[in-house]
Amino acid sequence: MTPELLIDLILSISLLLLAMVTLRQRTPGDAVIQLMIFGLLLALSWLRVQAPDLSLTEAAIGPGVTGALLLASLRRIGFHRPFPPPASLPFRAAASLGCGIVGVVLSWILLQSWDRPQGLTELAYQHLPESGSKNPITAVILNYRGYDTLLEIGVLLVAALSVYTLAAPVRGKAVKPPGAIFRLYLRMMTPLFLLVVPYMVWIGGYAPGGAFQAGALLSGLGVLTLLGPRPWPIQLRRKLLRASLALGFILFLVVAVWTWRYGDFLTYPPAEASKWILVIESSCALSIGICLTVMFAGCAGWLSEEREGFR
Amino acid sequence: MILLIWLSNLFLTLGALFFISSVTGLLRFPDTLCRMHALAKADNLALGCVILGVVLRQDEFFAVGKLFLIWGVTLLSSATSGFLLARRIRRGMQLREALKK
Repeated sequence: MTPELLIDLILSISLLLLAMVTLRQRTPGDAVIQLMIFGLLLALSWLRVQAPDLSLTEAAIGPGVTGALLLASLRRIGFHRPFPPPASLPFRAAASLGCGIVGVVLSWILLQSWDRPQGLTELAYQHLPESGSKNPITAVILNYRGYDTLLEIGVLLVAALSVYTLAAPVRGKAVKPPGAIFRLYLRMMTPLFLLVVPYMVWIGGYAPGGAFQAGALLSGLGVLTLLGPRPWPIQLRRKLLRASLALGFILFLVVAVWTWRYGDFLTYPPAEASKWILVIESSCALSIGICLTVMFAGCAGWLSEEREGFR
Repeated sequence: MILLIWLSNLFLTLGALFFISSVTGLLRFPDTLCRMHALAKADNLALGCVILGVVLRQDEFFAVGKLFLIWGVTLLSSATSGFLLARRIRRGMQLREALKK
């Protein structure tokens, strides 16, 4: 047994165990913490199958942003309120059977392509020079199947808008003012974030990185500022906030329609491809960051139309 | 060159040992404040050792810079989050004391 195989085995077994442990927690607070640990291990496993792009996104979105969203919601629901009693036995049996069937079918499909592990890799590399990106992942996400990413951005926008619409005024006690240490941390980290976010967008052109990772980082900055003394993302003018929410999707759609004249929906000519990809990536990174920040503010109850400010 | 590799191995092993001791502390210490102490101290030292070990195998200037940046950011973040957690725990303890009286 090689050391690599041993690490992979330990990783997969602990993933399965952690998933079971997460499901068996008694209070939402514990379950969320377990889910965050699960997300970290999942990011590690993506790294083991040589998918650093996915690993970065999983680490930032999974334990990072999703964890923050869930914890913010729990602040209102209650960390220690026990879960309702489990569903009846027949219902659970039917659900397990359904999940089992899906699992078997998926494994069967995977086994079918076992002898062709390359898949579309060669084709993706073959057209890389004309895709406008030196990173094959970015080429796939924003060129080969750009419409898919367009829809993803759309889904995120709809989710953020739903949170925005349903935002209720905060109930219960307000957040305690942040201490001096947190303020110092915020002051030191903000410039670093503002440097790393554009770097993430730019590096996506030839190495792991891109709009989603940059957006997740930006939302990290957003969450930190919301917790700090001057929560500017919420004090932004409402119109400006809404515009930056929708900017990524709208620009993406405009580019999609604009490039229609070259033949098909979202087909860039090779000479202009990198320019269009950069435009889409930077606007989407901004929108993803603002969307996730707005969702956090909404989950925490800090986003209501009646209150312009915060607290 | 071979010396550098051995030095790197030494640091990586040291880092792993510190990680093991910090996890032992996390699992064995009696209350949350003690457990945080184990995490905040030993973990950051372990990460520092691991990063030094990796840096010794790097030959690119910017990669070395980024690795040290990661360590610096982790130090700052764990210090801040440790402070926030500890403050929260102390508030909870004060609340419980007040309830007892």
